[in-house]
Amino acid sequence: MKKAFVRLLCLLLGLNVFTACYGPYRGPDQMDPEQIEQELKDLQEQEENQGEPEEEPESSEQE
Amino acid sequence: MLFRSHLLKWEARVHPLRQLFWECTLRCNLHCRHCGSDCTASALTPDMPYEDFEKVLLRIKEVYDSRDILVIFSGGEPLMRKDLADCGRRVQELGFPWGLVSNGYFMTPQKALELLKAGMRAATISLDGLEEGHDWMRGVPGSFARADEAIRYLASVSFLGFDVVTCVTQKNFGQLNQIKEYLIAAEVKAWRIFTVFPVGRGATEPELQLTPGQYRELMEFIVACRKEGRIKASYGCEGFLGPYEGKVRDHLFSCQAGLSIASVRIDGSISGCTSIRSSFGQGNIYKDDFVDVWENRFGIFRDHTPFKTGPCAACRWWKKCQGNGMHLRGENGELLLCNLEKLL
Repeated sequence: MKKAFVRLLCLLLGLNVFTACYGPYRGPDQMDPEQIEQELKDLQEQEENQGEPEEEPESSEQE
Repeated sequence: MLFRSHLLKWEARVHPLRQLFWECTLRCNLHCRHCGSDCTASALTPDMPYEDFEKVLLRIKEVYDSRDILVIFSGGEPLMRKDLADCGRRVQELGFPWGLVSNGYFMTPQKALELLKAGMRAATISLDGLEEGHDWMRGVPGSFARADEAIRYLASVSFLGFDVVTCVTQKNFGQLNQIKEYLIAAEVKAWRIFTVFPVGRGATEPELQLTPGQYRELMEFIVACRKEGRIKASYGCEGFLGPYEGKVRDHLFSCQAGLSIASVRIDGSISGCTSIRSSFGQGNIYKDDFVDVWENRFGIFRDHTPFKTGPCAACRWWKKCQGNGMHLRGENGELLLCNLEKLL
């Protein structure tokens, strides 16, 4: 609750402490883990139904 | 904003770490004309072993709440690392959310699924035009098709913080509407636009820079997109924008490097973001304690007063701009680019 209040206050004051600047922004904080798990299962099924081989970078060995 | 300068000082004092970039490789499969880091497919600098970076995360976890800090794999092209999903899994096990910035070439649906299972919760894919324009900019035919596949897949994942980033140049300036329509059709929700800054290859091709007139038009384009509301367009952190502050981003400008953003570079150096010149390194993970560096160094990042020289010395916008973004400064702190000049 306290964190949410500080976050809201910062946004209202124009501070971007909690927003992305250069990189990707964070995904939704409140996502239900079970919902994520279900979506991953769906994606896995979709992938298995298509069954294409994966391509890897040619020189992907760690140097 | 009333009291904004006081708030910026408070922000500098508190400096809550929110984003930690890990420059995990300098290798890259593409040859982008605007690249700021001059990457090659077989960089001379070896990739940093994950175990070295993990020591930093373990130390951070001792002091801060790992759930508040987004770890971002950057490069080079992070997917050049074969062990990336393993790295992500281990980062997640430590409680940190993580994401990556990628050109999308190797982000096949299979790879994307592997990364999502390993805890990836944020991703950015670069797209610099439609087929011809993107392939020209990226220097490898077929780049657009690969990025397109990645974008469509990742945009469909509801629990992923996903955006597309586009570098606007003379080449794609006339196609912004078409790119926008393509992204909307691909169900992309967030689109981050930036312009070239004069470092690396970006410095040697001046035609990549927009004219002042085009730059203003770009700002108007972003404003119009935001009003339209079909896609959340925003301008990246390419400095203070004077009359366009509050209109093209969700927040007012302040360079977050060293305030909420840190990076661990390929050689272990600790800095603000990975686009900043190496002379601003504040320490090195191989000889310094990261938390000590974050808490007690970063002086120039948190007080830009020494930058109030040259064109900034008498600039009436100084209080709000605070000397522009750190990545727009040269090795000696000199101002390389002021986009505000194009808007006045």
